[in-house]
Amino acid sequence: MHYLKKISNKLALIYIVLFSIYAYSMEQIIETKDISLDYKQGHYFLSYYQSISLLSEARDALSKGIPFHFLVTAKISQKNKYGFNRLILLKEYHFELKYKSLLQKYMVSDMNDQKSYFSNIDDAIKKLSYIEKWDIGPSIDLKEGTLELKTKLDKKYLPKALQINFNDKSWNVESELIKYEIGELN
Amino acid sequence: MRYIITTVAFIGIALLILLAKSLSNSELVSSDTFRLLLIFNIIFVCSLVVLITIQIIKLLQNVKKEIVGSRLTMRLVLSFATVVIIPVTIVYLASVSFLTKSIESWFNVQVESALQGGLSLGQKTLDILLKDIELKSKSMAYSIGATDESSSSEILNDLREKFSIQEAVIIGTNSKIYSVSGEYETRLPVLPKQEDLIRASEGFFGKIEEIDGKIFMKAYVPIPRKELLKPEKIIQITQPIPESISDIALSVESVYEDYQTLAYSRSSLKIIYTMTLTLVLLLAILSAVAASFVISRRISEPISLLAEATRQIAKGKYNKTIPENSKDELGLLVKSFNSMTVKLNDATNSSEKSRERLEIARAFLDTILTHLSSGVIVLDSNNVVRLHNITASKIIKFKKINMTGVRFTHEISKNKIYQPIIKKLNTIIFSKPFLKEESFEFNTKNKDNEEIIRIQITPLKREKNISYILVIDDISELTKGQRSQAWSEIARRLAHEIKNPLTPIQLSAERIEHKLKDKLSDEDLIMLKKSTLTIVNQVQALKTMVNEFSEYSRPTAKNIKAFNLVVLLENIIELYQSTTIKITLNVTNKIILIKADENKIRQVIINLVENAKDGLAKEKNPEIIIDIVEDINWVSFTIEDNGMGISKELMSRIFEPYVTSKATGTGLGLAIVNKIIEEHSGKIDIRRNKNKGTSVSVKLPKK
Repeated sequence: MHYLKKISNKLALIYIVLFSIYAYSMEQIIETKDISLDYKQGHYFLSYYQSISLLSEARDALSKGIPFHFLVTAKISQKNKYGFNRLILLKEYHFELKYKSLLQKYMVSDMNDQKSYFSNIDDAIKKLSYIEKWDIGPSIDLKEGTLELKTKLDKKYLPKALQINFNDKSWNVESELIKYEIGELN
Repeated sequence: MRYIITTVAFIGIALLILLAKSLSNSELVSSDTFRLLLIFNIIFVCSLVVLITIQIIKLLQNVKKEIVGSRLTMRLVLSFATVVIIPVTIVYLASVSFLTKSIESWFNVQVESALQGGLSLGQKTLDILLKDIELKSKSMAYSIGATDESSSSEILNDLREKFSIQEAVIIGTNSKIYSVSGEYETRLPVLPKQEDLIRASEGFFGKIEEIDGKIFMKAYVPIPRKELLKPEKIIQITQPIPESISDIALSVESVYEDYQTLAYSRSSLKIIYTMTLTLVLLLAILSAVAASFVISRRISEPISLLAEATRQIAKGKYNKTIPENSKDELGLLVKSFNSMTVKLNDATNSSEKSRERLEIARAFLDTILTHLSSGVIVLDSNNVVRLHNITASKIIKFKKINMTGVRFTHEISKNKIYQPIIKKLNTIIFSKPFLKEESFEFNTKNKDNEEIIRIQITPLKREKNISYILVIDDISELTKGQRSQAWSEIARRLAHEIKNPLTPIQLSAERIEHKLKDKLSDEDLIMLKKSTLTIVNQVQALKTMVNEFSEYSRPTAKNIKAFNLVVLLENIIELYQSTTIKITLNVTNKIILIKADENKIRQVIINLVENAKDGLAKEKNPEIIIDIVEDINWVSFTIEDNGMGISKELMSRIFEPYVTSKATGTGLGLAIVNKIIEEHSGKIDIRRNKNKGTSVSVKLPKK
């Protein structure tokens, strides 16, 4: 009996680990990579790749006409010895992914509000994969500083019922908060 | 606690209103706020649960401790809670059921099919229009391709107008615009994307796009040239969908999307509304229960105070008043109660004062009775002692000091000498009630003593009951004093009357002897001398007796001064050294000074020793022992002999005149001794020894 108890404890532990791995793998993430920051004519321009992966439930919701608004936030700050970091630049933009039932196409609206139509969702997502030379604002040429970049699904634009769906990870579509030192990017 | 509950209730209501608003107006309250509100509500519900649990525990503890009002509060809380919980729960269940069914009713197959059909219709219409554009664009491309390039602009314009096309543009595969024709000549054409150009160079390519709320069709067709293997130019046609069709199609699409969105959110909606309703239910119930505590306490508080005050009054605290906070019936009750307690307090104070006065009077009476030399007994009509003093117990010689409540005659009947008293009481009191004062005296004689007791009975009528006050006096001493005084008077008169003729009698007898001694014969002379001697001796004896009478009756002139009693006793004992009597003096201190008349005390001692000596006349080993004992204020000496003693009959009257056991005694010796001791404020006690003989103790003050 005691032996069985030991086994059951181990099985429970294995189950918890596997479930955690599964739950993590099931999460939809936005992966950001190849980030480059250019400084030209007093402005910082940010370029990067992002790959958005959506679970079937999210894809299904998208196909039902629920629009997906993504919010990208870029922030440059400098360390302050005596308090909070000093904010140099803060820029946000939205892009939208939506299925147009009438046209039977996925519509992508980019940061310049340019709309593109695609027959399948992957092409639409691919359209959003490369952000090129995003003007994140005027600044002096910083030798030191931290760039923070985060992309996430803006739940404000989701139907209210889905917004309040606390434990549904289908709607937790976001990237990690990526931090880069400006010196490294240059 | 009351304010906490009220505040919490208000917070709950505010949270509920915000929650309801956030559900109905998504613009007003953002999703984050809604989520925050939900969390606040849940925290609030938990707080309420904790608060109510604490209240319930406190209430149960109060009930267990039997605190006044706690049971009433519990009943009221239960009543209020029941009144609220049952209807609210019914409403909740009905609402949830109704809500679930309502949400389900929004989505049915017919609506969805209709919307799907509408949307398909729109899609087909667009397809047809696009097909039409395809035909037109192809026709235009062939026509342009068949003509000379120099006239392509005119032909493009003609064909555009002919086919009612909004805009037609000839573009090179290198994105160079060769010719433009449009309804609005001022507007620059929108260049196709590179991928569109590549795709169009391979054949017809059409697409529909939504721009600024309008649907546009775009068609791309390569312009075929015989001389070229691969087309170098493309014709781009832009044609808007007619507004009548576009608006309807977009409207259908919008409704369809809304429906799909709603359908997709169906389960979430149910959860949210059910959760909100549950929160509302919990908040309503818990707020009602919390409020019920406040209301119950408010209702039960004055009643509890009244109950507590009543309990205090029952304990005798009559000055208890309750604050009058309300003007309702309870307030009136409290007011009346306060009025009652004030009156009760006044009455109690008055009663207390009367009781104190009574206590003082009783204490006064007790003091008087205690210090009264007469015994006082109050009997009721049933012969039961209601009140008595200690003196009464002493005179009647009760074994119990407290004889209150005992049957008087039954208690004294244990002593036979009181039989006359019982008979008298039965006769004059208990046989028939009487209302006159009456007194009687009786003698009690026992072996050692004789007492004279006088009882005065006074009836006391109170309402229907009659009590009897018995005033009992031991008049033995008084009687003895009166008797002694009477004897003194007799002795004085007797001495006066007898002493006067004694001297002439003696002188006459001596003169007769003197006159006749020469005239009589020897025989007669002898008889005469014998007779005259007898007369003289008897007269002398009478004189001695009369002197003793005089001594007894005459007030003593005292010559008080300090002297050593031991020396006095030793001197007296010295006088009896020549006799056969052994006299022993036991004394620890050789000097015992007392202030008294030394001659009188000597007379007392000699008298007592003489009495002892007389009693020892027939004793073979006569012995007298004198013990002296002293303390700070008193000195006492005891003269004890082993003689024949005094008879029991004489003991009670031994100090009275003419009471003597001796044949030749006058019976005045001990009476004179007693008188001298009394005049010196001393005490004399005479008793028979256990074995034989007599002990006489004399106690004298030192000063």
